[in-house]
Amino acid sequence: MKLVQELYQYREFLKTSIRKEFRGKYKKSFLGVLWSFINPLLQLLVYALVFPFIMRVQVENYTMFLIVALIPWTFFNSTVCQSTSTIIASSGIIKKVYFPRAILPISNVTSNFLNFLISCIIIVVALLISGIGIGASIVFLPLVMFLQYVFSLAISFILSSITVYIRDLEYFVNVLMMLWFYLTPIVYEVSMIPERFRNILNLNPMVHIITAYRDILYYQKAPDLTALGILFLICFFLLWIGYHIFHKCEKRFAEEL
Amino acid sequence: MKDFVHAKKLRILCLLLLGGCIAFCCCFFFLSQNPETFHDMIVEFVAYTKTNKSVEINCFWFVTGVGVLLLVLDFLRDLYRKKKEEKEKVVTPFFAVVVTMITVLVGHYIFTMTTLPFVLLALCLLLLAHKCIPGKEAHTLVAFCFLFYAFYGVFVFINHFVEVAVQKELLFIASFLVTLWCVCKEEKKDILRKLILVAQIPISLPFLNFLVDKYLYQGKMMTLPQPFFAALVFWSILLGVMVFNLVHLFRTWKKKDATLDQLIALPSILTIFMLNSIQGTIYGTANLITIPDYHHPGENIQAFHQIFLKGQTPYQTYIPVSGLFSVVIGFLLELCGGVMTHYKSALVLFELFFSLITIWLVSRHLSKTESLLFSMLVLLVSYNRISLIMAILLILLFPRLIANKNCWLKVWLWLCFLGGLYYPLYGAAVLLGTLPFGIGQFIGYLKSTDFKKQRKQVSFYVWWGVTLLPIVLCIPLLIRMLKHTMTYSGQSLLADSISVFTQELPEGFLQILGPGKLLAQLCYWCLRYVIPAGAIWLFTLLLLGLFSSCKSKKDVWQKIQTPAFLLLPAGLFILAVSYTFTLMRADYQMLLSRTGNIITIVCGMIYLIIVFKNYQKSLFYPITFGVVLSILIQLGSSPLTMEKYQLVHHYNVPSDYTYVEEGDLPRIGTGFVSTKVSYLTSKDGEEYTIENMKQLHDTAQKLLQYDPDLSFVLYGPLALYYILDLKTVSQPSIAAIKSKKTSEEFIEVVKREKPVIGRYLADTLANYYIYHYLMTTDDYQYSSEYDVFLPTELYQKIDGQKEGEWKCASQIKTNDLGKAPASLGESYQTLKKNFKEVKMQYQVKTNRDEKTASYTYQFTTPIQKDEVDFLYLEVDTNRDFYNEKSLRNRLQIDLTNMDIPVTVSWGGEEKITALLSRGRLLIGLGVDCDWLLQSHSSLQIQIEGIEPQYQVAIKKMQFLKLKEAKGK
Repeated sequence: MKLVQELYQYREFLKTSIRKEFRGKYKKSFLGVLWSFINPLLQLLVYALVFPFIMRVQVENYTMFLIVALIPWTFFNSTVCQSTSTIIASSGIIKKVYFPRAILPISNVTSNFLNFLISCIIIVVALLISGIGIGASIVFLPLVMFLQYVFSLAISFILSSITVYIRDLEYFVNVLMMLWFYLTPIVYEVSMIPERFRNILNLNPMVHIITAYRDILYYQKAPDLTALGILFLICFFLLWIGYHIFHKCEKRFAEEL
Repeated sequence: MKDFVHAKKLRILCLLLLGGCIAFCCCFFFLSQNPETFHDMIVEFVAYTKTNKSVEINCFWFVTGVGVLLLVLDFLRDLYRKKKEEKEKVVTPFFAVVVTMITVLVGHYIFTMTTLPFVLLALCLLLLAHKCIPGKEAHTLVAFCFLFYAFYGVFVFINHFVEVAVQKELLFIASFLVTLWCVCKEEKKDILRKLILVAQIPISLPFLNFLVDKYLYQGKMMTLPQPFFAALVFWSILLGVMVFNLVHLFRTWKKKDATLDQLIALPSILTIFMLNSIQGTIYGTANLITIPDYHHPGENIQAFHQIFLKGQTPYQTYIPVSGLFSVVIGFLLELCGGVMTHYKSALVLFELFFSLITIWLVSRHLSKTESLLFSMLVLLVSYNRISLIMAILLILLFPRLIANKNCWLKVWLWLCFLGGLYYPLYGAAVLLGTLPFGIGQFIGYLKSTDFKKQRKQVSFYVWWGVTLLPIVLCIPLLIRMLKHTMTYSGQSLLADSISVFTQELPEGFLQILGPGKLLAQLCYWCLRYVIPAGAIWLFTLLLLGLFSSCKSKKDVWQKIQTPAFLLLPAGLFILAVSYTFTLMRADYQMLLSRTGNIITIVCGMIYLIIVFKNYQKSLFYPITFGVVLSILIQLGSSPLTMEKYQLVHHYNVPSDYTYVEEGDLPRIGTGFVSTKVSYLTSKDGEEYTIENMKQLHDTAQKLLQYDPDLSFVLYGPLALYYILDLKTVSQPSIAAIKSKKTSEEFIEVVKREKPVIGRYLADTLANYYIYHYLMTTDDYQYSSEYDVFLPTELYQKIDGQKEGEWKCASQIKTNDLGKAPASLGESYQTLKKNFKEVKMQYQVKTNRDEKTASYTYQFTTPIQKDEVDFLYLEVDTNRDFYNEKSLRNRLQIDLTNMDIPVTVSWGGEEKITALLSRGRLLIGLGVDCDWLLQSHSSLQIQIEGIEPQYQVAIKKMQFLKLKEAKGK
């Protein structure tokens, strides 16, 4: 509750910080915010060429199958990767001014989330063009997005605070994210994984999030609510743990930086 | 909110209520001489009973309107009359509470001739505290309330492990004695404060009742776990509240100067309201024994199943009954595992969720003591259609939100949008109710400097875009929904209505009036109408009172922007709009039926909030509060008379229930289900059992092999689609489709989606349009093998036959049409436009013996298949008297000749019977499939049981063909 009250008190700072992160990302580039569209599109193009034609993945309407999972993953990936440098990059302000440090990871996740929302336009347009359309199950999309936001925030809290003490983590996370990408059914279907490994795969929260996106947008059906319900609890528990780790670590940020 | 109604207005209100009673009786006796006028072939209760529902509704609106007009005239008179500066004596809170308690006790005694022990004991304690420890009266009452729930919690805890039994009255007495002792000792020891703190610790223990997993089935104890999600929620509340209250106790224990509000923990208030709301409902348990009725659970979950699990498009491929309210419980059921046996858990979670939101919002508007009182006096009724109303109003009432007009307008739009999607009627009621305030906010915002500043910012347009985009995207859905709602509202009066004036008294109603039924019966009818009208008058009075306190035009504008103004028109309009349906649906043996639910929400909640804000300003409020509360108690909307303070150790499974396991049927789950399936009969007319349901599942699976995308329309309980995991096209079961327009909507979707249609011919006259379509169309063929109507393509695919089977094999004949032909016959002039007259040439032979007159018509050219399906007859007898003298029967409009059956027969055994009544009959010959699908060369009409002294003559006879409902 104290955090919420502090965040409310410093809401203007939070807004400015989010705005800075959001606008600063493509500030000096020629295409600016358009990169929010171009980036995932190019990435998509690569995967859409490699997997069906080179890797011979047999999935109907593979581009759509990929797009509904890849864009949410990009949000998660960029959030987690950037989170490692969030606190370090703001060392100047941390040393000089008091403000709730939690604002930094929150603004990182939120600005990436806004970017993701813009990228979602690609998904909507693609769904309409491909003829899949948008079904009533779209009402669950905000819930899944919210869950992903909470999960990303939880990871961000943990990584951003620990990286201050263990700087090598920043580089390790990049490799880890690559592994995580392949452990999540983004370019392939869950059913392609042998049955005996499924339970292990299910321990990965992103499996359920990506599956939920795919159910809602690609298969046009309600996601598995039991799985999402459990994930909801896990995400909030992780957030609680993440914040506590962050809270413990933040006391010595100024010294370490 | 300032004081705006004086106690002297009570006189006007009482006079109006009395005048209303007299006016209802007069209006009804005067107007009821005419029968109901039909404009469409809508055969339901009104037609079957030959009652006149329009008169009842018109009487209500007339008298209500006159009452409102009188109140406005009185207001205008006050306005132009020289104002005497008379200040009303302000009453103390103690006096106001005592007045309310006495009013409630007297009111309840008048209704039931019993007393309310809880209120009586509380009154005694209050008086004693006033004498012994003045200034601590409220502490005493709060301690008494908490103690009762604490004792109850402790007993639930003990009972969870060792079976015990305890009477509710014993809990009252125990808490009374302990509080009494504390009051006596309070002067020397600071004991009440500690008692309040301690008593809150076990308050959440009754949630253990929802975690019971033992079932006594056929003498054997079984353990079946609760659904994980539900158990998690119950445990979280139980432990969360307990831990919070413990922390609260440690923090407050030593604060001797703590106010009463500081002593009360918010979770305690929330818990009491949640418990009362769940346990006060019909199915206040979260066990795995399903509700015996397979219809209503289906109604409450189907939209979620069909839209989100079966991928249907609402109001296009699938027609939800009325709004998407069933999405919410369906969603909760899915969280609980998505099986039927978990339905009660989902229902309890639903009640829990809405009661939690409601009481939390209430607690943001009232002090903790007032909120506690609120949670002790009213509960959230289980009528899920109205669950959103209170939450919406309370959100819109937040003072900080009201101050931020831009944000308020966005929230308002969204809440009305959601309310409309949830249940269109109440969404419209909320929209209309809050519209006056909304307009005020909108104009206020346009004039404000905030608007001038904000419109220059990009974020202003972005946020409005985000607000409006989903609404704009949903416009096609809203249009389809509106079209559907209008289609059904057109038939509502004649299809959904149950006459009040034909009803027997509820048991034990107004016993104080003695054994003679007449006076009680009159009171029942009057109260049935005066209470709803009284609720409207009350809000009119308050609204006028608000304006009467204005001194200038500027003052009026300021009043319009107050929360009081938001509440008062909202109460008024919500009542008025909601009555358009709830007054029609006057279920038997219930004083206010569904109207009671809306009154509970508006008077029980909105009015109570108004009262709490004005409690000690005038005697008007405590007295009306007492009266309103007495009525709510009669409606079962108050925990004060709650019977179901449960102590569950294990559940006894009823003998007509059977154990089912996951996989028996696709979505049945593990638990206990009723062996008999309501609303479904086998071909031999026998009630369906769970075994028949399994057969139905096998049939459906066989048919699905031919077309996996097939949908079904089965005449039966709606839960069937869920349990068998089948797609359907229409939530309103065929039984609910009556008018030509609704039939056309149904036929349209049937033609598009081509579902399998179950044999449903139990009540052909009631669904004549659909029955006629199925029988005469080439789109469908009857399959005796599957006992369903199959789309012709599928039929041919399965059987490889081109010729269909004899469709009449599907029909269970019900050829006694009762009073329905007489009801329709009286409206022949207005119904004429729906028919095409078929001119027939015939010769007549007449025969009259002692009690029977018979006429035989020999046609020159035979009547062809589906050429004539209705027969209009005007029979003249010089017999005209009421054969039943009781008042109730006299009010059943026109009992003349009800004992004389008219039989129309053809061929050998084929016949249709109707009651003669006033002699004008519109007989549906086509109701008998054998008439409809065959040609006929003769017809016989027989009028039986008429004494020799009366003459009989058929004055007019017309052969008619009903214009079909075709769909696009």
